[in-house]
Order: sequence, then C-alpha cells, then structure tokens
Amino acid sequence: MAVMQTQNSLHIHKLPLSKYVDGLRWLPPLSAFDKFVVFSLFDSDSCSSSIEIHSLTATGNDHSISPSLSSASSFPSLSRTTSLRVSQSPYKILIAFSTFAGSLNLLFPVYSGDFTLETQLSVRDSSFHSGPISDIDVLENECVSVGEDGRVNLTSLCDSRLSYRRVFDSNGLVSYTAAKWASPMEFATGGLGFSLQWWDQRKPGEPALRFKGNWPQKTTHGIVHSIDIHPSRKHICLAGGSSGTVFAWDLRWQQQPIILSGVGIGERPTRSPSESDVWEVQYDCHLQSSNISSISSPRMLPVMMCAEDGILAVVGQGLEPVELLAESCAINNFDIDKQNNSHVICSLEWEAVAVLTRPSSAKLIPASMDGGLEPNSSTKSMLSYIFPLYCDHSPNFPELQFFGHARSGARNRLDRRSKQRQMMAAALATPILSSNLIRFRIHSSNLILPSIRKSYSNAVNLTPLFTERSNNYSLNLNYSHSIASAAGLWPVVLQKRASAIAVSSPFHPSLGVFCAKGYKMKTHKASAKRFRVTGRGKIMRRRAGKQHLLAKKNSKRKLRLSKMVQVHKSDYDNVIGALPYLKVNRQV
Amino acid sequence: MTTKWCFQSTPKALTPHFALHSPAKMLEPVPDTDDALPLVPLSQEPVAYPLHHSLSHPVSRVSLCWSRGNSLRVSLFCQEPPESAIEATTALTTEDDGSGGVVVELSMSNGSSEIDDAEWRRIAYGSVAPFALLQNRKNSAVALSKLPIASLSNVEWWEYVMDYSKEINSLLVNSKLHPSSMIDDPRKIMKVIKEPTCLKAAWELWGIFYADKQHQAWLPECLVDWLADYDCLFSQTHPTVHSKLVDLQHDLVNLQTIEDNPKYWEGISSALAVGWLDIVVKLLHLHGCNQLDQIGSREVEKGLVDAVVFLVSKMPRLRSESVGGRLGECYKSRQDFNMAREKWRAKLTKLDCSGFWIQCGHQPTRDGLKNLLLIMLGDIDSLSASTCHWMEFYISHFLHMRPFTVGLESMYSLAQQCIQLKPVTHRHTLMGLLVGILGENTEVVLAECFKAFGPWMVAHSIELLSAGGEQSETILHQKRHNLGGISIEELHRIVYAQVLASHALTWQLAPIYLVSCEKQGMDLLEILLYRQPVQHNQGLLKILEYGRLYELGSVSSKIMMIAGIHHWKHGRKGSGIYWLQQAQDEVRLNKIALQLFDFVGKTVSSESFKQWEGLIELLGSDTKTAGGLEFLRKYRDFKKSLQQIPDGKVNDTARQAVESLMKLMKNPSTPQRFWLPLLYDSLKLLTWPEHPLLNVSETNLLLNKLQELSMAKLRPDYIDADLPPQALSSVRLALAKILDVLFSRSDNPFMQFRSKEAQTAGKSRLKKCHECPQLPHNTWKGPSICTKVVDI
Repeated sequence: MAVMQTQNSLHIHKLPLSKYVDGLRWLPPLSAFDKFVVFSLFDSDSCSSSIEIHSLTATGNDHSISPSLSSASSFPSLSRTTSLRVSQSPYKILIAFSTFAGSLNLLFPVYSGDFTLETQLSVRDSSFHSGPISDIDVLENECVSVGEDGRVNLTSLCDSRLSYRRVFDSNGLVSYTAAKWASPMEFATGGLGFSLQWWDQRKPGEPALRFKGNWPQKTTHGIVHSIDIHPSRKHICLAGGSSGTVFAWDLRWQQQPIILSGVGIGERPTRSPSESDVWEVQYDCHLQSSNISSISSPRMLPVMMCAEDGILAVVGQGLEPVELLAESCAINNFDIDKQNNSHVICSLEWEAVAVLTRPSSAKLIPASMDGGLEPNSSTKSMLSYIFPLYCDHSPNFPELQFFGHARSGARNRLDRRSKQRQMMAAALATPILSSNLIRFRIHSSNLILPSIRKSYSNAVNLTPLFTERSNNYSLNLNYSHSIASAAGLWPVVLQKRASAIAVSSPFHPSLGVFCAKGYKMKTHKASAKRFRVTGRGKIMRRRAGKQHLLAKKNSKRKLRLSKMVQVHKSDYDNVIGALPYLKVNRQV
Repeated sequence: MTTKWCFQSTPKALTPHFALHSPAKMLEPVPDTDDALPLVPLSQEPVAYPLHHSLSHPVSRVSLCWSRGNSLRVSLFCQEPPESAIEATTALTTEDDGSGGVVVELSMSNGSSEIDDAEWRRIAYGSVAPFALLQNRKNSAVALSKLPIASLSNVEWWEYVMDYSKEINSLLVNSKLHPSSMIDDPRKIMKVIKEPTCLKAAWELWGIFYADKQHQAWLPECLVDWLADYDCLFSQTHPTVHSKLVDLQHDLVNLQTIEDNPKYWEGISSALAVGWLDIVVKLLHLHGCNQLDQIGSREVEKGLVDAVVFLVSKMPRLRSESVGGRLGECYKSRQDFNMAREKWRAKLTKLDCSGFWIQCGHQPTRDGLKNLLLIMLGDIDSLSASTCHWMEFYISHFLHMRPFTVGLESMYSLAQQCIQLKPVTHRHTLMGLLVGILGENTEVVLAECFKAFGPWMVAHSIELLSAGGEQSETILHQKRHNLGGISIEELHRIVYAQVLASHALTWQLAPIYLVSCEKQGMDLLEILLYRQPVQHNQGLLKILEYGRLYELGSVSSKIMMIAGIHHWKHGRKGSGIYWLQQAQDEVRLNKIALQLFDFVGKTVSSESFKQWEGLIELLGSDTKTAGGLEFLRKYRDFKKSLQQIPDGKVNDTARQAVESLMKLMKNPSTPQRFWLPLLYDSLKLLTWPEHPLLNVSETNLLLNKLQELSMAKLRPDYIDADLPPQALSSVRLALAKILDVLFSRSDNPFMQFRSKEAQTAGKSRLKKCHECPQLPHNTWKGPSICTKVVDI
C-alpha cells in the first residue's frame, strides 16, 4: 500500500473542537480570503446540538503554518443531526440538515463579513418521517430525504415555504440509509443488504431500477452508508458500506457490481484499505489520471473513502489504494473542497477535525497504462522543474496555485480554457482585486515552461490559507515507495508497474471505455445500430451483399454472408470515435 | 428531609471511585473530610425538574442514581406536599409549583479543578495511543523473551518508556498559547508563556523520577528545572520566590533608583538561591551603575557588579547541555564538575576577600552583592533567609550546599529536615507526591495521585512506576485477595475504564484499557458492550466493530439480535429482519415469519406485491439465513410466472409456473394456510386445456396435501382463507381430471383398466363432495388407490 509521505507532500493538521462532530461540509467561497466550514456539533456537556459555521484561517510563523478554526456563527438545533448538506450555488448558501427526531431543516445564512440568519425553515410532521431521517441530499431547491421507516420524501422550496410530497412508503418493509441526487429528475437511494434503488420522478410509485448484484457466495451483506454520483457520469452510482466495501453500480450493466474495495468479496482478494464500515464515499478528482495520450483510462474515477477504523484513503479501479490518513479513532465524515480539491476536511470520532492539504500539482501516474506512457524526456523534465519551482518561490506570494494538471492534448486544452473562463467570471464577481498576484502555469506541451506572468486582468486566486512556505516540498507521486526502491530511475519503475499489470490482466481483460473526461460524448446512433461488441471486446459488423441478387449466389456463399465478422483493426479508431462508450479491447 | 442532609452525609460514599470499588479504600489512606471531592451542582443554578406522580404514600423520599457523565441525579419525593416540598425546593432555590417532587442533577466532578471536562476528554483521547503502543511493545517483548518485564531493563525498553512519558507530557500542554510579543522588554524579568497545571507538574515529576533513566545522574538538576517551571503553582497558597519576583516586576516600572530598594536585593538573592541565573543576571544589569550617565562616577561599583555577574553566569552545573541558552557552565562527568567547582569557588573567595569592597561607596550594593556571594558559597542562613517555601530551600541545598552529590535516601532525609525548618500550613498536593516519591513508598504515591488527579493519572502513571524498579513492580503486579485476585495495576485500569465508560463519548476508549486487564477485563468489556444503546445504526455498528476487533462473536450476535427485535417492535420490519438475519437467529426469524404472513395474507394481491419487492431482495438467495421467510421469495416467483402465462397457449412459462408451484408445495416452510389459496390461484394450470402439466407423482403430492388440509380443517386453530366455499372441491376435481387423463394416455392396458376404476371411484366421490360439502373427507380413498396403481 502506497502511503503518501507526510513530511514532504501531505499536510495534516488536527484541530480539537471539544464537541462531537456529527457532520461537516465546506461552504462555497464567500469572500476572497476566508474559507468557511459548516459543522453540526453535539455538545455532550450541555446535551445540546448546533449548526456552526467556522472560518478556517492560517496562523503561525514562518516555520509552521497551522490552520485554525474560529466560530463565525452558530444556530441551535433541537436534536442531533444525522446528515448535513450544503447547496453548492455560489451566491446563495443553503444549509440543510436532518435530525434524529425526524425533522428536516433548511438554513439560509447571509454573509456580509458576518453571518446572519435570513430564514430558517423546517418540516416536522409525523407523516413526514417517523423516527430518524437517515440521509438527505439537496439539489437546487429540492431535497430528498430517506429514513429507516422506509419513506422517501421530496421536499421542495417554493415561495419561501417548504412543501413535501411522499415518493414512496414501504411501511417499514425496507429501510433506506443513503440518498443522492443524480439529476433534477433522478436520484439514487441505498439500504440494507447492499441494495441500491434508482428513482425517477417520471416513474412514480416504485423505484425505476433496482440493483440486483450478483454478489459472490459467502458475502456478508452489509449496509450502504453513503452514495455518490458524479455529475458527468450519471450512469454510475458509487456506494460505500459495511466491511470496507466500496462498489459501483453501472446502470448499463446492472448485474455485476464494480468492486473497488472490500473484504472477502470476489474471487480475487482485492486490496482493501479498511475492513470496517465505510462511512462516506466521494469521487476524488484530485488524483485522477490525466494522461490523455494513453486513451485507455480506468473506467472509474478515483474514490475517496473514510472508515470506522480511522482510514481516509483513495481507491480506484486498477489502482493501489492510497492512504491519506490513518487515525486511531474512527473518521466519520469528510468533505472535499469543490473549489480546490486538494483541501479535505474530515471529522474524527474523538471530537476533533483534521484538515488535509494535498500538494496542488500532484499527478498520479496511472497504474493501467497499456504502454501509453513512455518515460520520455518531458516527464523527467517536468519533475526536475517542479522541484525548484516549489523550493524557490518566495514567501511573499500570497498564493501559489497550479492551474490544471500537467496535461497535453487538445481536449484538455479545451478543458483548461473553460476553467479559465470560470476563473474570470469569479474574478469579475469578486470586488477585491490585487495586481501583484502571480500565477504559475505549467504548459505541458513539449517541454514544460513555468512562465511567470501577470494574471489575466483581475484574476484573483481565492485561497491564501494554505500557502506553503517550507522547503520540504517535493512533487508527490503515488507509489513513492516503489520509486524509492528503484533508486529513482524512471524506466525501472514503469517496467515494474507494467509487469504488475500484466499479472493481473488475465482476470480482467482491459476493456476500456474510450471517453474523455469532463464532458459527455454522444453516441453516433446510426453506428450504434450497425456495430456491436462481443464479450471479449471485439467489434463485429455484418457482411455486405445479402440484400438482393441472391439467386445467383450459392447457399454456401449466402450462409457465409449472413454471419458477422470482426471489424478490421485499422477501422477501430473510426468506430470508437463514433461510439465512445463501447467496451472495446484492442488486444483481441 | 432536605437536600443538605444528603450532601453532607454521603460525599465519600458517592464519590464514584470509592463507591464503586471499595477495595481501593483499603489501600489508600482515607482522605480527610476537607480533601474529599466536594459535591458541586452542575451549574451555578442546578437544573431542577418537577416530578409529577400519582403514587400513594408512603413513597421513598430520596432516590439517587447516576446520570450521564459524572453527574448524579437526586430525586426528591414529597411526603406531604404543602410543607416539605417547599422546604426541599427552597433549599435548591427553585420554585415550588405544587408538583410531587423535584429532580436535581449534581455534578460529581471536582469543582475547583483547573481542567474542565472537555479538556479532560481531550487528554483521555490523546493518551490512548501512547498507552496502547506501550502495551503492545511490552507484550511483544514479553512474548519474545519469555521473561518477566522487570528483566527487560535494557536501553531499548527505557526508550519506549521515555517515548510514552514524553507523548503524554506533550498532551498536557494547555492548548491556549499566549501571544508572545516580539520586542524584548529589558525590564521584563518574568516570562509567562504557558499556563502550568498541577497535572503537568505531577506528570513531569513522575517522568524525572521513574522514566528518565538517561538523566538519572543529574536528578537534582532536573528538580531545579522543574521548580523553575512550576514554582508559580505554590504561590497560590504560600509566598514563594515566584510571587516575590512578580511583585518586584510590578515595582520595577515605578522605581527610579532600584539599587536602594531592599526588595530588589531580596529578589536577586532569592532567584539566585533557587538557581534562576538568567533572572539574576538580568536584574543585576538593571543596577543603576550600568546607566550611561553614571559610569564615570561609580566605576568600582560597576566593577563589582560585573564580577558577580561573571561568576553567576559561569556557575558550574552538572548536566548534559545547557537548555535554551541557560547560563552556567555544564559538565557531564562528576569529576570534571568537581574540579571546575573548586576553581570557581576559589574565584569566589578571592572576590570576597578583595579590597574593592571597601572602596565601594554604596552601602546597599555592597551588602547585596556580599549576600549573593554568601549564597553561592553555601551559607545556610542566607539560603534560609532568601527562600520562602521548604521546596525552594530544599532545591537550594542541591545547588549551593551539597551540589549534586546526594543519593535518593539522603534526599528524603534532607526533605524531612527542610520541612521541619520551614513548616507549611497548607499541604499542596505536589508536596505530598514529592515526599512520597522520595520516600519510595509506592502506596503513598498512588494514593496521593489518586486523590489529587483522579483515575486518569493513576492508570497512566502506573506504567512509569512499574518501569521504575523491581520493588514497586512486584507491589503493583502482585495478585491480591482483598481485591478479588487482581493486582493493583489492573484495579486502577478498571477504575479508569469505568470512568470512561460512564460517558457517551468516551466509552469507546474503555475497551483498550479493559483488554489490558488479564483477569476481569474481557468480562467487563462484554458488559460494557451490552450496556450501549443500539437504537441507531451508526452507534450499533460502532459496538459491533469492537465485537469484531476483540473476537466477541457471541456478544455481537446477541447485540444484533437485540437491535433486530428493537427495530421490529418499532415497525421497521426490514431492519429487524436484516439484523436478525445477521445474528442468524432462526428461532426469532421463524416467529417473525408467522407474524409477517398474517400481514401478507391480508395485503398481498398480485398488484401490491411490489411493495414487498425490496424486502424479498433483502432476504437474498441464501436460504440458510432467511428461515421461514424464504417462502416469501418463492411465493413471489410463483406469482410472477403465473402472471406471465398467456391464455390457452402451451409454452415454457406455464411449465415454469408449475415448477415453482411444486417447489412451494414441497417446501416444509410453506405455511399450511397458504396451500389452498396457492392451489386455487393455479387452477388455470391444473385445468390446462391441451394436456396436463403435472405428472402422476406431482398430482399425488398435491392430492395428499389437499387431504391433509381437509384434516386440518377440523382443528380449532385452522385459519380460513377468503376463498369461495367450493375452492377445495374444485381443486380436487381438477387434480382428479389430470389423473384421469394421465392414466388414459398410458399404454399399459392394466393401468388403463385400473385408472378407469379409479376415475369412476373418484368421480363418484367428487359428486358426493359437490352434493354435500360439509361431509368429512377423510373417508375418501381416491389418492391412496391411485398411489397403489402407480406402485404396480
């Protein structure tokens, strides 16, 4: 298991709160220099619980910068909270939380240097939920809530009033433990026995789809604790639950769960970072493999999980699990900052929170490279470049942030451009401007040139908090151990990885979905009707010449023409370009 | 009957540790009534809840029970509402609203403690990891060497103990740091960086005497440093050097010529006596002769002051290295130190005898500096005069009179002498601890610790103590009859675990301490796990995690069972079944199944079955764990296949439906009351127009079942299904028809013959059935005949 070396890559700060943390979320950025976290806390001394907004600020001297929390605002809650969500629209904050008493509350704090509560709405009704609400999720102004009583309710906000409607009531025959929106019309729920349901509001009365996992024998079924769905891949429903299990349900192939981690599941012993309950899972875009030159990327994005045995780790398909944090107490919740996903905050069982700062330019060398990445000069020079870059930068810069990861390829340039647009928009909206901010950018085409230039007109980077000034920075790579053991020679390392993959390939033929990340590609529908893929991953087509003029063809010929044949390898690129979601294996 | 009575009469009995573990009392001296934990209300105004009851007299007047954490709940019932209620409630400063009594929550924690609950919890959380690490190392070392722990006293082991001591010590630092100003004020002599606590002072004392073997040779020097850090703790009750210097600090701002003030010289001599050389030098620099305008006129004075400053800053010390730029020359070996000290003393006497003293015109300076020299030369009277507390006097002995050459035994007698010379009125807890440690009296040390700092301190410091020496190790590990066969070490761990277990947030720490107790630990752990609430899944899973970690499978399954029943009773059928399934409790699952079938019988029609879908999914395909509920799944399968059959067309689906029907009928877990509805529902299959879908043996089985059913109808506990009255007979008719067809198709002429016979017999019987449905059917021989036919 590759553990990130804490001294030179990952910065962990533990902050005691002296209250039990029931839930936590990052708030979307409200001002240029402050970061806010919302907590739901339980004070055991006074037996009271509250929702508190804390600002996270960096204090300390030149040698050690440690973030500290200071309470900005506090709103009392009547009962302990079970779930806490924040709506991510940047100019309006919506904090939603559910309680053990079965009530759903929405808070609308207004920020103007200080938090004031604009409105507070709550639903508390015996016909809403009886008993605790186990999970909620918010999308725009609609909130889905599920409970152990088997009720699924949708609460919507209209005219500053909350109204709810029952989607389903199983009368306690089924208990739901997790919920997550996929789109404004669809959401997913999870429950006991690793069951997942897919609900579509256009199909009321029952779940649109049910996950019937072909779990291997001797599997102990557990409870789904958390679900996540990536906005750009709505067909994959990620779930984490008991005994360290993290699996994904692909709606397109409904029978087989994609197991990312877990104990005693599958024929192959998967390497599981944890053996106890996985409390929360989230997609983690920080460590995504971003090498576009190898078209075959892993099917799943990496996933961050936290578990009862104190593990915060990133797991992925075909990736070694990366442990970020190993605590001696349970990690109950975590949240990745949506704006800057190198910042993670997680709550510990022992009345504390941990703030993790990952190096913002961390780049994962993907484990499954079908010979795609050559240890070429550009990679090496990139490494040699980033080291001095980190070491030399002056502490006067309030912000150092790398935009985008080191990438190449037209698609990512597009991606980057859109990111820049977003930043521009944010800058225009932010009144605080500073002209002396310097932005580092990495150009990953041919050689990497860190060009220091003045930022676009008024672009402001928003996070002065985690400015790292110490010299102990290095580029953090996954598999730091193996790199160390190979005496720093790149070719050796890559060969080692490649051989490891070769061993595992007989079990899993590397079927790749050739689709770029970031945006959804459309299937060419005419081609989809003409080609199909076999179980081994071959692309098949029909043969021509069996429509007419059949009288002169003998039966052998006709029979031959009626069968399907494989598309020639040279045509694969054309077909794949038209059908990006085809599960193709080029090797067969 | 007032509350006062119960407070005064029961404090000792109610103190959690003494009350729960009476054996502890025997070992430790009974605390003075003054020192016993006072009972303090939870807040300044205790929360009082009115009690309403309709009990008839006499009711018990006072009831005491534990509330959450360390608080005690006192319930007072009034005997005669008019007078005594008022009396009771006025004592509590609450209003009487005519209720039947009051409930008051009282905090049992030490009200005057310097550390609040949240801080204690933080310490408790933080100390788990070092404790567990040390235990692991100890266990592995024992496993490796197969020798008792005492023989492990090698260097490595001491390093482990040191690590442990340091980690715990770092926890005790108060998290609130005072901002230190960057500009160094020359007139600022005392720096207050962190708030020292008695707990930290005590822990460091333990560390100095028991853990730190590396610095054992410089033990007196460690004590000097310790006193420098924690002298302020004594100044709350006594005048100390620290308080003297703090006073001086205030005066310094106002004084113009400080060398005229006797307080200035007193402060310098006191600081020198306890070895705070930095402060001495700093103060001497403030002497008036150092000011620029007076250098010319006071040259001799300045020379003398400088000479003393030089001698003070060159004072030889027996320590490894100077920490944080402290003054004094450091020597590691005793030999070097002695030589250096002799030289230094020679310089002192030379200065003492020099002629400059006569030339010095300023009287206070001359006396003050002379006094400083006397202190450095070890004059007992000056030392006694310049120190306040016996502890300071004691420390000054090491520095100036018998420098660093004393053993532990003589240290104890020296301490006794010092106490006699400077008696104290108020006994500070740290003093008792120090005397106990010096006297090498393990029991006294433990008792002092327990009294002052509570079970956390004792449970953790025992580790240092047991590492401290063979004698204390045997005392701690000896099994004692009066403690129920456990050792003192185990007893204190259990006590601490009990304290942890009493709080909702810290109970998860208790298992770590309990498993390190050999004798009673596991049993207590089981009890602890059973006592935790199981209502919420998250809490339940946390309990089960401990069951998994410590391999308490039976406990886990029992807890799951309890949870299952809880959920079932609260209407969450799915959760109930899930947890019972996890607990593999077939007995209860079968019982639940019966209740569930009642529910099924009422609600299940073909449409509403989708409600059950989720539950059936949950049950899974594994038949072992589902128990009687397995029926539900098969029933669903059957219903589904029945719905899929199109009318009048033979295909595989019909055959499948028959198969699932047969599976259901063969299964012993299918409840009897579902037999007839099942068969009646599948009438379409039985009367299949083209050819019978059943074979002979299957038909016979169904007929047998029908027969059994008609027998059961006579019994009183039979539950009648909501079916038309001819249901039974119509099914029977259909089955008979099948038999008829089957036999008539058979090639064997004998069979044909017999079948016709059977057919006619059956038909006549069936006619009878139709004519008189009330007739008991047990006389009918149809199936038995058929069976015989098949046998032939």
